[in-house]
Amino acid sequence: MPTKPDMRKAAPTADSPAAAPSGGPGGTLDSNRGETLVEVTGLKVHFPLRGGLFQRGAAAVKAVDGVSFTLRKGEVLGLVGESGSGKTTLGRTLLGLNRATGGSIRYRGRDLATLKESQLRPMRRRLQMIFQDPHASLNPTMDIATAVGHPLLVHRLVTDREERRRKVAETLERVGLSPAELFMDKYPSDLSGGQKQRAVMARAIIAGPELLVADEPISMLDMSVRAKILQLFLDLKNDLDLTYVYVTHDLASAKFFCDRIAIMYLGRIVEIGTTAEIFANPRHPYTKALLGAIPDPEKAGVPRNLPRGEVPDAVLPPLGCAFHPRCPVAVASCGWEARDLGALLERHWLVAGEDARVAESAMFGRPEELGVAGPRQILLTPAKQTTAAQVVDLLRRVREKTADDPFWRGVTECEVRGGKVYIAFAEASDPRLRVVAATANTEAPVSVACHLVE
Amino acid sequence: MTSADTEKGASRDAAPPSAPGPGPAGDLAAPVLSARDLRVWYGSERGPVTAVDGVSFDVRPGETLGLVGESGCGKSTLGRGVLGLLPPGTAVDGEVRFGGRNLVGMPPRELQRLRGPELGLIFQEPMTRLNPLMRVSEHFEEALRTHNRELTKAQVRDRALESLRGMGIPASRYESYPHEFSGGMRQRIMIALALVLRPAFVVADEPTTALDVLVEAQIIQILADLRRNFDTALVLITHNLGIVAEACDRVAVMYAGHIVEQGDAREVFANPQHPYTQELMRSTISLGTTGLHFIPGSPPDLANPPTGCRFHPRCPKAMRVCPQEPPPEVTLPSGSRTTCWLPVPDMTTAEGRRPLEAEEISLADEA
Repeated sequence: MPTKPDMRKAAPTADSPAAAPSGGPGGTLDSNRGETLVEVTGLKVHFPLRGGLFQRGAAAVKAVDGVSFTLRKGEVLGLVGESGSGKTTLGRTLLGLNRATGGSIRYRGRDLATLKESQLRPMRRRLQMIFQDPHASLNPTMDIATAVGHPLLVHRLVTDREERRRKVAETLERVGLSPAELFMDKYPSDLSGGQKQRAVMARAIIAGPELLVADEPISMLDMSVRAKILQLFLDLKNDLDLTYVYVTHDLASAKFFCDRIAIMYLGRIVEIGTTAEIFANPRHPYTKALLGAIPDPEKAGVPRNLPRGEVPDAVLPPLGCAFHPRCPVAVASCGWEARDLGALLERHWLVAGEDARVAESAMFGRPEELGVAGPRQILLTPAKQTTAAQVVDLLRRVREKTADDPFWRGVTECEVRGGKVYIAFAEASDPRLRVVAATANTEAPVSVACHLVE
Repeated sequence: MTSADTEKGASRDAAPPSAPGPGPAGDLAAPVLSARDLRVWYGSERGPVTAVDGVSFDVRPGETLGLVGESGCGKSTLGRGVLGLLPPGTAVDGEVRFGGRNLVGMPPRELQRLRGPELGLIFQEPMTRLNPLMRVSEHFEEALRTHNRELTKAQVRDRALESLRGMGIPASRYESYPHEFSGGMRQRIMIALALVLRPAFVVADEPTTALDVLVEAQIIQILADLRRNFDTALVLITHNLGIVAEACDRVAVMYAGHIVEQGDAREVFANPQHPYTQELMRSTISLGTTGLHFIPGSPPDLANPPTGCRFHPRCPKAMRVCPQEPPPEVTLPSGSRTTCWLPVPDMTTAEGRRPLEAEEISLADEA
């Protein structure tokens, strides 16, 4: 293994990534500009669950669950989602900081997902990460010159101390820590948040990277400093010909900063496309919800319909489309199941009041039956003093009160069967990421995973 | 002790709200809480730091006052100071009128009795403010019984469930532990806990900072409903201008321990008067951002603040008078109040109004 693999532009190895067909489900080239830098196909990162009282068998947190996209040289791709969407894990996996459990990451003719750590190490010179918390990403006992110069040592890019200091000074100036002599011998605790993030940037670019994954790089900074750091990102991109993956939950900065955006929900990309198109015409209900939730001085007081609840548990994600329990426009095939009935009853009881809750919840003999995930048909056991007919009647009454709830679109049958309550749900299907509205000469700017978008 | 206002005179007077005070709802109900010339300072290695320096504001029933500013501007200190929740070694001076009494200088025991039934606080991090070893029910029992020993368990339960239901927490979760809830649910529980005793005045300190976008929007909606349904007077501390625009009736912009501008939230956002407010709004990245703008330099060291107006070293409109004398507080025709020399040409000389030659500020000299 050469210690200084020269990967400068011209000569990618025999199996050039450019030759790969961009027929992946997420391939949404909007124009022909830029060669493909990274091609991610069907990427999965599952964290096995161990311990606990029960044999969990194959239970795993599917942090990233089948993600495909193309990253082109020189672009800024935003990975946007709430906590638990898998955006950070995806970003880390791109650099081999998390192990992929499936799929591939093609970069310069090699599959990063299968490389060993020793093989990845020399590549990290070209693949760098900026972490969220600048206070935590600098060693408090290392002065700035040493920290920033560290990659030069690791990758043996300089031979002597003088050259290293010179390079560090040059890089510090480049990120705005100027004059560099003022900062070289300082420790992280002497620096403000914005200055630390600049030092982190200096460390990331000093070895000459090609791709930077920035995980919420400005979210811990003050409002007035954010713009400065974002400007630095833009300047460095232009000066050094960088490609960025920008991981964030902040749609406003993503809108300004990114060329393309991938909206993630529970380990999947639900919508990916050009920033302009995503903001002008959000198609996935989740994207619409996210855009509608941004507090914005310019549209204050506009009433909005927020989806209920929060991101569900990734260990046992909802059936079908993971967003369906929160989706205001979900349809029959979105993946309705027993636990959605449990959630519906909880919502109903919040409105109906405590007395109704006590009386009505007592009619269910085995409340745990309302928390089951999966099967299309379920049988509910009535409580001792209750008949199945009474439970069906209760469900009918609840249905009348919650007629607008999308849940009922997924219920095909609800009747008494053998002393129990039989409920059948519509067949669920998992929406796949599909290219929408392709025009004749270019590929479509957006792909969406939703049954409502054909 | 109350320090009488000196040079700032009339406009800052603690007079009844007959002055052209901003009242978005149109009603001029007496303020629930009035702060007058409040100062908070603490000792540091570099000498006394005045974190809040002569701040005055009113909050009326059902009104939400947004307190915005960058880290270190004193907004959290102000929020805690009003409730008497500052750490030992902090000195407070000025007046906080609440229910005909001055909370500043009130014996801790008496203040303690007011917290809960009269004064509430919603913290920034719900995960660290709920006791992990106590069920939700026990949190409510503690809160309610502290102030009313006679309550039976059933009464506690009824009141707690009602409060939780208002926040969308199902009764089936009443016996759960904090770790069994998501971040948003925990914040709802925190709010339910703060409100179960129906305090007339609540401080919410960055209540949505650790939350996701959608959950943040949900919580903001809850806070907005609150002031409509219960007439709660709320001080909402945040660094997010969007949240203020959305959830607040009035806004007070803080810089380096001072309120530099306050007024009707829409008016302030549509027509920011103080250069700091203008710069802060311009530098905030919003959906409408098409170019990046930022304020040069960094907020001052409060142990050694700049003379005159504290914003003058960073102010693009600074005049010669700005470093010389502290600016007056001016009430504008719109009802907004701003502490700045710009709107009062008759109080300055022609010489004083000449632009100030700014010192060069290095790019790295930032917050």
